[in-house]
Amino acid sequence: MKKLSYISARQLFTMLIVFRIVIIMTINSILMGGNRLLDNLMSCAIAFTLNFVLVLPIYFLNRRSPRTNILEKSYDLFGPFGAGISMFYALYFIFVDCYYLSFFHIFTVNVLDPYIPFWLIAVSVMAVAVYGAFQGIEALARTALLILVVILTGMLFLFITVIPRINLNNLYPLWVDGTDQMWTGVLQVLGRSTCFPIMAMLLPQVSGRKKLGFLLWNLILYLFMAIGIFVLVSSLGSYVDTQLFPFFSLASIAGVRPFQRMDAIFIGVWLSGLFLKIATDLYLVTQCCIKVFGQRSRKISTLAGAVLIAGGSVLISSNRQWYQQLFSLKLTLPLTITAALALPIVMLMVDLIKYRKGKRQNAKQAVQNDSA
Amino acid sequence: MTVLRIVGITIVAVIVLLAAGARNYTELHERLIIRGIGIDRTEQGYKVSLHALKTTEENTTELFTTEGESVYDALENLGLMTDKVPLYSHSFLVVVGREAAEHSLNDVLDFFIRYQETRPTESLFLANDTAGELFAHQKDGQYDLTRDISDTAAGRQNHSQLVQTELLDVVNAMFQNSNAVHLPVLNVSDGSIMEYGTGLFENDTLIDFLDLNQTRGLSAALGKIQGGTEVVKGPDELPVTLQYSKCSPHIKAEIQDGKPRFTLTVDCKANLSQTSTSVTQPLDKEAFEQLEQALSEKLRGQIEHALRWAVIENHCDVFGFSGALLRQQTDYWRAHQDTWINEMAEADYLIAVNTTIALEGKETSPKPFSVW
Repeated sequence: MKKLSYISARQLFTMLIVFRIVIIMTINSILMGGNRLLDNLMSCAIAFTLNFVLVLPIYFLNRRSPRTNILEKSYDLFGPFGAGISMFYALYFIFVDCYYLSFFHIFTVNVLDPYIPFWLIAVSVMAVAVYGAFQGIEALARTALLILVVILTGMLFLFITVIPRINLNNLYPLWVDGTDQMWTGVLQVLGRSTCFPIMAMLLPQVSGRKKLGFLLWNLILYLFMAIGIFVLVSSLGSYVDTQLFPFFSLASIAGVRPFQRMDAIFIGVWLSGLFLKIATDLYLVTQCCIKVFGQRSRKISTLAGAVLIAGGSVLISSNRQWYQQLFSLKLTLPLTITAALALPIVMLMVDLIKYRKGKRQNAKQAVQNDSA
Repeated sequence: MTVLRIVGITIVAVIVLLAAGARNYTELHERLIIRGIGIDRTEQGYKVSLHALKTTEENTTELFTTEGESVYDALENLGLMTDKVPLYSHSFLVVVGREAAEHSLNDVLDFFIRYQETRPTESLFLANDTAGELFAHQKDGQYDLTRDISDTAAGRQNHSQLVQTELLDVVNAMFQNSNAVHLPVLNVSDGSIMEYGTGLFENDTLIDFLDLNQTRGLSAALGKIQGGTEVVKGPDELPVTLQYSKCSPHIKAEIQDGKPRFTLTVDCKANLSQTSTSVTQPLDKEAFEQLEQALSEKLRGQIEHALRWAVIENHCDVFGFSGALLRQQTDYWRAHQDTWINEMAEADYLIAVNTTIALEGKETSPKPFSVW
């Protein structure tokens, strides 16, 4: 049997911070539900609180079986039908990576010059991600720390250089046009909460203070998002609503002599985070396939996952309607809620029922033995 | 594994070398580095005048003019005149001709908001006549608009009769839906390119102008004065020259008798530059108060004049009263935002200017302090 790799809680949550920052950097007024981006400050606060509820099923599952991940648990509970759950998670991670990669495609098409063919980007990112996935979760976790340092330094530099452009007159009261945008923002944040399924997969391989790690992860992310939104609105004003990638526009105006035009930082941060996210998901896709098809499928499943992600993204990028479906909450929200909340709740309940049933049967058995 | 790595690295290297960015790399001498763009309306569409840096000689500028049905079409037709590849990321100013501004500012600016290379921090100006005239203007055998404006743009905060306006400001003003768009106007006069005043817009159409004195009032009310001189009557009716240092405005919005009442307070700092009194007859310390009061009165008059012309006569909220209403009287704003353009002339406006003379130079007159 293959020895299980272990990572620390600090490493896990470092990875999860990188994944979330990459997706936070793609927020814009369209996705967040309207022209009052400041209302999404409250979305951050609500999502921050909801995360403590969302994590409960995964937490209790992990507490009941600390060294069993959600895939093994599904086999324990449903027998061969557990393969269905494994395949669902594999496809979910492939879907999430198509989402991330397609977003990068929109960026390259609309903002980057000169134009680079998307298949080339997809193949290049996949080549690096496959290499990362082959190296295993420990190597990825160590890389995450380096990438996080680069990302945080870059973003801090960006925020500092944009301070001279902050104009408080660009701010406005919350909920001027009602609370719709705030709730759309909450749903958008939840729909993009792809970190919970990763936790469900990796928590048994994690040692250390998980609760503290989760608390800090949640806090850092939503502070980052709230500060980001505040800086975007206060420095760009309503101009933010005209931009597909407001963080990139922010980077393009940031500058304190002699440091001007910080767009390169933005692209560097995004690409490094994208690589880590796809590599980790490929590793998890591989774990799902190993669970179903055995150890021999390890390499082939990683490669197949990469081909599906690259092919899927290229295919989606060729059709505007597919794009709209991919980024629509109608698709992302149910899938993420199923992967992060519904399946863990179902498994937790089945586990509890089976446990009680077993306990009752044991008691009955004990009574029968006594009477015998 | 080593063979796999070598093969992998070779594949990645080949991909990178064949990438579009590397293959289609454009040398600097093949670039047309655009410094400024002027846009005029023609019968067929738009005429665009461009200043581009000559990359073969130092500090010289070339003028290109091209026409098309839209701004982008005209810029694309630049390819018929030069085989160089235009680079717009170094353009720092856009001048809109009067006819183009009277037609539609939106039509002109969309390219600059949308195109990936342009920056939201480009300075925007309005030509009193045509932008082409300003771009064709020469001084000492060289085109001086981008050269002079580059000085002015860098140090334009020293010109209190030019309201600094960037693309970002104009887009934000457009979103306010209160005719808040305004642009500094340039004019060719006495063989030089001079400030002319400020253009006022109804939606995105030029309707009227503020003169230079009104423009100074507007600059002060927007907090954009950071220089420029003003001569006031000092003691014994002798002229005293003061230099503006900084103006900090604050708008208080209240609702009284069912209509808004705005109190615009401007805290102005100025320095004493020159007096006409004899050095042997120093001014007494009351002179400070007198000078401060004189400057306050003068500036207050300029602000009032600008307010009357822009807000009352032309229904252009260039001072940002609607923003103050939104922030401070949100309920009122919600109920009246659709009719605000018509109602703004009915509101009450109070203007208060407080001037402080911060520096008085090496001279001991007037005395800034006393021994006892």
